[in-house]
Amino acid sequence: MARQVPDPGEPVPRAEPTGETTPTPRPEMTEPAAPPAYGTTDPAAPPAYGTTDPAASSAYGTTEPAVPPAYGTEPAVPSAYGTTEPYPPPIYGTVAKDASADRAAVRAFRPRRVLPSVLTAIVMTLVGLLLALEVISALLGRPLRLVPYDRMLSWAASTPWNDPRVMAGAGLAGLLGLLLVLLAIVPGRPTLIPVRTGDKDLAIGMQRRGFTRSLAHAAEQVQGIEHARVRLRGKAVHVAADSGMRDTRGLADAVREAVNLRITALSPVWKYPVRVYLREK
Amino acid sequence: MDDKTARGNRLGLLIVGLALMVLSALAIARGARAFPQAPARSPLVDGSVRQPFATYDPWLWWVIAAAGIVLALFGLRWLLAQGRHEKLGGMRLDGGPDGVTEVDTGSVTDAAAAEAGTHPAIINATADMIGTSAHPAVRMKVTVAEDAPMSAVREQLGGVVIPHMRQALEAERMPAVARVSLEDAPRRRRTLA
Repeated sequence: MARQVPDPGEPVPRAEPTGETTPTPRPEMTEPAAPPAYGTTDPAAPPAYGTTDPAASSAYGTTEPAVPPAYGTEPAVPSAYGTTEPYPPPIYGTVAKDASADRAAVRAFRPRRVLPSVLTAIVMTLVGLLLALEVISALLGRPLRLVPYDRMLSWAASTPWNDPRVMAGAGLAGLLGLLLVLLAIVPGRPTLIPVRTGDKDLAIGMQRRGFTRSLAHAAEQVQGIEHARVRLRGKAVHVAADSGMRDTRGLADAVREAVNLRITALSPVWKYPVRVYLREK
Repeated sequence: MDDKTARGNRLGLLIVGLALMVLSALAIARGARAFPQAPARSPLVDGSVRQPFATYDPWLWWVIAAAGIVLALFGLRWLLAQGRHEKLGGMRLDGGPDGVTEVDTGSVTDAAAAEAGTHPAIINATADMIGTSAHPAVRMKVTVAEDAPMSAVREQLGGVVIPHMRQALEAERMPAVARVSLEDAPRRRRTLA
């Protein structure tokens, strides 16, 4: 499938503009009628179009310096050469694994524990406020009595420490404390899927839904796949694909390959093994 | 919301959680007769609890009231930190002999967002400065065509947009966090491809 979005800044293993070091001889010097070899992008060559290629001279005129490239630095092959050969599929550069940059990216999207913090902070505020209000109002001689503390005191004065209710309450508080400690120390699943950037100062995260949807669309572009759904199970990609074809030999592999290709392009920090479940008609 | 808040949240949860665990462990130990000098059968409130209140009559109560206020203030402070964005509206740059220059970061972030959007893979982008003048950082939200390679985003941001921001704001470092939503760009139909 042809990519819609060419990537200007990407190192592509095609012939790059190499300036004067290009070993290919200049077309106008050796063989005026022959178009230059496919992919030569010697910057000195374009002005020669008009004089070497009669078809080009009628199309662009003799003063046309060069065909403006379609995108940035993409070495565009002028259509005047008459070549119908499509571009080779772009191979996108992958960034070498950089453990510290990966860690920074994962850290940037760790859950921030907002909900438990808000709840704990609200309880803390209310308890502190209530305590201060009751004590101060009593000290000033006009007790508010928002809390029935006379009854609480008489209960506490008659209940021993080994009362099962006291023990159960203490146990509950301890479990709550354990939960808060775990929330504090367990890193948690990142809210976004961190992308490998190889740069500690650039953290990119993508939404899980967009990631799975993109993979599903990649699977649907395989010939013979009508519909695909992608789910993340932990760090594995599960693809459920429906095929309308009778003969589905090799289809699952094709889907896996398409999904893997998309994963490579999206370059998440983690590896995502792909499992394909094919449903046939 | 920033890294400081996230760290503070975890620290706060850790302190409160540990305090709860320690208190509960002590109460259970007392009930389980772990302290020989403090019998488990004695009530929660007995003479040994009442006595200090009698001895330090008004003072102990004032101390308890102060402790309640401190607790409430910590809770309030923690609560308010959740809404903290640390958005940086203006930046001071060292302007040589003339002194300092105040820069409106809004124009810089707008330019950065617009520049990010010039890449064909990037459908939409917004940017915000956070941090301080000495240590600025940038938060971006980027909408990207889902079939574009992430390397395009990486290079447009890391290779073009952020270096330009660094240059404009004369910052040595500009840590950036970009949240990418992948969007289904109008795709070529399979039958035509």
